[in-house]
Amino acid sequence: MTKLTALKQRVATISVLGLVLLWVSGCVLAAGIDPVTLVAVQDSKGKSLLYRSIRSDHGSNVVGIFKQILSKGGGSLTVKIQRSIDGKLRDTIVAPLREQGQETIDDQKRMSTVLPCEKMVLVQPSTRNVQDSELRITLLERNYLVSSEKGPVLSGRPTVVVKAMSKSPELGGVRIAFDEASAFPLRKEIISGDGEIRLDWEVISISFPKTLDESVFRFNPSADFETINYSSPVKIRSAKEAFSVLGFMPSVPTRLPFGFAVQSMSTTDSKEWKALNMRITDGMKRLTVYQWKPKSNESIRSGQSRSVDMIGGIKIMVVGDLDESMRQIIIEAFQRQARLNAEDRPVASLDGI
Amino acid sequence: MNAFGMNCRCVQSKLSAYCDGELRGTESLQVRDHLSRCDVCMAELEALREVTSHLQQLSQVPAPPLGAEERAVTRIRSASGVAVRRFPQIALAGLVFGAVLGVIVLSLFNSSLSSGSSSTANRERDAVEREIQRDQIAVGHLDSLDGSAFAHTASFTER
Repeated sequence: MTKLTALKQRVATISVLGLVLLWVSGCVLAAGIDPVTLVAVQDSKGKSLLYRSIRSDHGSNVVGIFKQILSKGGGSLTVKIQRSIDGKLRDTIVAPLREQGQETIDDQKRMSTVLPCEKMVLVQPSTRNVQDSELRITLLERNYLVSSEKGPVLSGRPTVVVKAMSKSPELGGVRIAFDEASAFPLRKEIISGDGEIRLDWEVISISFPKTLDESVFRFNPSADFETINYSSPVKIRSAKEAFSVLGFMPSVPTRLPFGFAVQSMSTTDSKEWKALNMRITDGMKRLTVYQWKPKSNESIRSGQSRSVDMIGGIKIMVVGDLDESMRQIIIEAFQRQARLNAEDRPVASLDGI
Repeated sequence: MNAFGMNCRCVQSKLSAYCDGELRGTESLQVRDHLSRCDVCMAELEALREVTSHLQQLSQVPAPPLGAEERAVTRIRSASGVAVRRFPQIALAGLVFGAVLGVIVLSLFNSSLSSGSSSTANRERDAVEREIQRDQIAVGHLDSLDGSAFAHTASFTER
């Protein structure tokens, strides 16, 4: 009898525990939290450096020379960067000779891109005030596992190497060496899905001056430079709104693969080209998806950083540093949504993402 | 297509000089950069090279001997009757020449029509490439983690 009571008590305890576990799982799923995130060992120091960098919270002016490796066989670019503590920037290409003198100056109001050989200046609204860091951090928490270790001394600065690996193994990840004091990234390596590590860019020299003259961020082109002004892109909230502006119904998927989410949608403000621009990110990687209705048989083609396809007379291009096969999977998500649109299923708005 | 380097019209105007190695360093690099990504201009270059190659293969024609022109005129004058008898043959040759000329004019007209539509496509492609590059410059500068900003400021290298 006693044994039976004990057995009943044990069964009851197990049932209660099971119910509690079920309830917790339900809450986790309902809150949209990936259960893997809960059990993953996350690195607080690595994350802190990573998030400070995403927020551009370096607490100092930065002047440096960086080398960027271009695609296989494409050589490299040497770039001088100047960043003020409050977020202004000037990036100038130093080498190779054919690109020398091209620069971008952003004074937080306007971003001017100077093309000296063409005697041309492109002026567009500054991107320095884009507030997307918190969304990116949320997505990083959801999509990446972060770890860190003591890194090498780069350009005389002690570093911490932060490794962020996507929970979608085929996407790989990144390894970034941060300056320990300022959280400024000094080297970035890209880890492919099959584990291959490729250097993206690294510091050659760096300094953190206390002052940086305001004139650094001013540019007065000579009279013979042609200035082309671009106005702010028109923000779009839904595919239907895009339809009313662009005259065609773009595809806006309700779900994107690999944990990507839509950051923003806008239309280009150009007489020559009317397109929907979607910024999507998984927290670390940024992609832009363009959709437009071609006027002629223009031969825009896929390349190393972009994939092009058609969806029912609408051209779609995905641009960003992602393998071709991954970009194609993203395009397929857009194609699926386009088929649903054709069947008159509801389309997504940014509120639903 | 390198929207900021050179457009198709600019490149095609320099192809002959490029072929002959007459362009200076930067220009030559820009043309080569454009050619590596533009099938239309590459086809133009290949056509140009083919014509040059054919011209080089033509055998040398020796110059006529001294006084040949005067001797020929004298012989024609002395044999004017023969010239009259040959008139129908000359007329026939003229007709054939006219027909060939007509065919050439028609084919040129057709090719100008098709190159017109091809240049519209090129213009649109240039405009799209330019907009994408400008937009990618902005994207690249969103935060310091993204070194692609540097590359996008440079020519659209299709990394």
